[in-house]
Amino acid sequence: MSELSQFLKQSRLLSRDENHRLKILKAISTYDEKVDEIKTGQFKDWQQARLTAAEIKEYVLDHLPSLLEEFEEKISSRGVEVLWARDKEEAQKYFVEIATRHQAKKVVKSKSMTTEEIEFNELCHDNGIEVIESDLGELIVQLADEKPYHIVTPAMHKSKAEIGKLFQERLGAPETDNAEQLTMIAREHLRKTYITSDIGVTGANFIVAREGALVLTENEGNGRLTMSCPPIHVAIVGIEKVLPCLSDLSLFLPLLATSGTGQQLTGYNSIIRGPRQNGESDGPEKMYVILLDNGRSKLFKKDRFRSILRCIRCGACLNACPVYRTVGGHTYHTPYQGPIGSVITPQFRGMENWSHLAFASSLCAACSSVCPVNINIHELLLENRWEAHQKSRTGIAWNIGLKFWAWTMSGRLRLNILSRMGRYTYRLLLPFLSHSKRKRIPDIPSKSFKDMWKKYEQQK
Amino acid sequence: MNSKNEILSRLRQRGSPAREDNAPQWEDKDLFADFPGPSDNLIDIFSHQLNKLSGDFHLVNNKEEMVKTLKSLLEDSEPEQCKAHKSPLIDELKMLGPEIRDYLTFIDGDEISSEEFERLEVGITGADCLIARTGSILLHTVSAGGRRLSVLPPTHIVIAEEKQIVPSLDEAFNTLDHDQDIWSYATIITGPSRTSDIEKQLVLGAHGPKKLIVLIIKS
Ligand code: SF4
Repeated sequence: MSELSQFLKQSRLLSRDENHRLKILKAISTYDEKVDEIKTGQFKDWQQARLTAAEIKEYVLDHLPSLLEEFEEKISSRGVEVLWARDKEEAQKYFVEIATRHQAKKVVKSKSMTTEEIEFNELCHDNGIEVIESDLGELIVQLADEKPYHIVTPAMHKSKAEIGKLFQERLGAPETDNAEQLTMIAREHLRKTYITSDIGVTGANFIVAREGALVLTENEGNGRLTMSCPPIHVAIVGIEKVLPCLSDLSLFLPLLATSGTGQQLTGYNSIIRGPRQNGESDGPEKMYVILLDNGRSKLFKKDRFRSILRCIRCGACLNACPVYRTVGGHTYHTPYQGPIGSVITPQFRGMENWSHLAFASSLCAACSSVCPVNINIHELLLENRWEAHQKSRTGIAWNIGLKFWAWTMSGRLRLNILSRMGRYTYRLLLPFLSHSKRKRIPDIPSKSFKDMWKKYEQQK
Repeated sequence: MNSKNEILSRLRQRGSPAREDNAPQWEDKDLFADFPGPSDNLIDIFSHQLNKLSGDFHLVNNKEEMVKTLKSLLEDSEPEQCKAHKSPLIDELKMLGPEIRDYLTFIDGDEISSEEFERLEVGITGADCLIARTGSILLHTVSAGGRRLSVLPPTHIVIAEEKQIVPSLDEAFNTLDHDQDIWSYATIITGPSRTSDIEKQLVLGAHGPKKLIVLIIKS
């Protein structure tokens, strides 16, 4: 099935699934409440904060090559090996080499979207390496053989009862639908994993250039355990994640926490500068950083798209999007869903199969209005539509049709005549148009807007 | 061309020229509505924030009182299940309170197997600084006995002094900047481990500590 038809099929199914929509609505309204409270409680001026953040990110993009080199130089001085991956295949190759070198059989992983991007779990499976997701939401989707539903809350679509059943079947846990008990089941299940794994794999939320550090944000502590217990730590990070220096975190950490989960600050924000150093009492013996390009530098070269590289993957645009809320995360069939996914996926993976995502938008701009780094996401969706249009060989009929439409619209008299004709034709056709269960086709009002306006003007 | 050069050269070919030569600067006090004012008591703000996050807070007047408080906190655990980070303050507490000495044995990662470590109940560490505005604790591998002691045991006790409390994050990062080269890992802890992955319901103790207790001696 083509990506387009699978998108249409899934969205038709899910937009009519009341149970599914209720679950998503409940999760997002809880999120909305918390975000509103924290935004006004924490920031003097949210607009000002996001403008400052956008400016810092623009500075970063202006100096990206030198900042990346600075990062590499600093962090490798503490014994970290930095590997540059052009694409998914190269990142995969690096990881397999590392795993072979250290004879790794078992990997524990904390939540990371870049690993989704390079299909890390499939890679491990093909190479006979066991991989265990340690983030609770990720563990749930892994046990269910699914992909993350949302870039921040991967198991948003699962109810307590569904998770209870899943744990019962896959982990042999006693029956329960209590969130606390379910969390404790996951805790017990994973505890030994940290100390028996050969490699800990993480992503990172930020790369800090001046101090040569990675920053990882999380609430559960699974990330910290993943970076502390196994003898090897591998971090896979997108090259756009850079911040100039540590002190920039005092804006970006509260910003990400506010937009991501409606928290003042996420539970744990860890700054990693290397493996265990002399004089330290524990930590991994060796650390690798894989810097992932995978389409980012190509996007960088397009001036109009560069601003999307400011994205800090907070997920706010997904939650705000009426399309995401209706069709759900899996429908997108990509690691990045919602508006951010609809901008970058056609760019990363090609217009041929993915341009439909740019059209899966009402262009309401809700995404742009919530974005903490002030990206005009909806305008980039339009850019994608434009590019898709340039690339596609649209039919002659369509082109003539559009020309005719433009001609009609540009003259008052033509418009009057044609809209009146349109009204009559529509009336005539109405009995034949299907009245399906989910869509009612409205009747045409007796007076057109133009007529009503005329009357209104006369009465004034 | 190797991958690094290829990526970097792509990043160097760009249409529009770079604009700013300096990254924008700001201070936390201009940005945050809840930045502590000059008349605010940082201890009060810190304890209020920590309590909101379900952390426990104890303020003591002197080291003798600290020993008493620690004793009451540790009473229910076995001494073998508690480990502490080696620091001058903890050394002093051991001198003052022989009754808690056994609970405060120092840890060195190499002397203890991972399995034993995993069975510990309580980890006791110092901190680099405490952040009033967010109720957070900043610590790193040198100030807090490595990476695992503050995350693997189900209870994490932090011992600090009043003078270590700073108003907001920017100052916390400044203290970190000073000791540039010794640590490999730092973390800002804001409340006990938590998750809302199941139907957005908050549950404490997801993988890290279920309990976070902060003890502060008045300066
Ligand atoms: S585009 Fe903006 S709102 Fe969407 S995930 Fe990225 S930073 Fe968040």
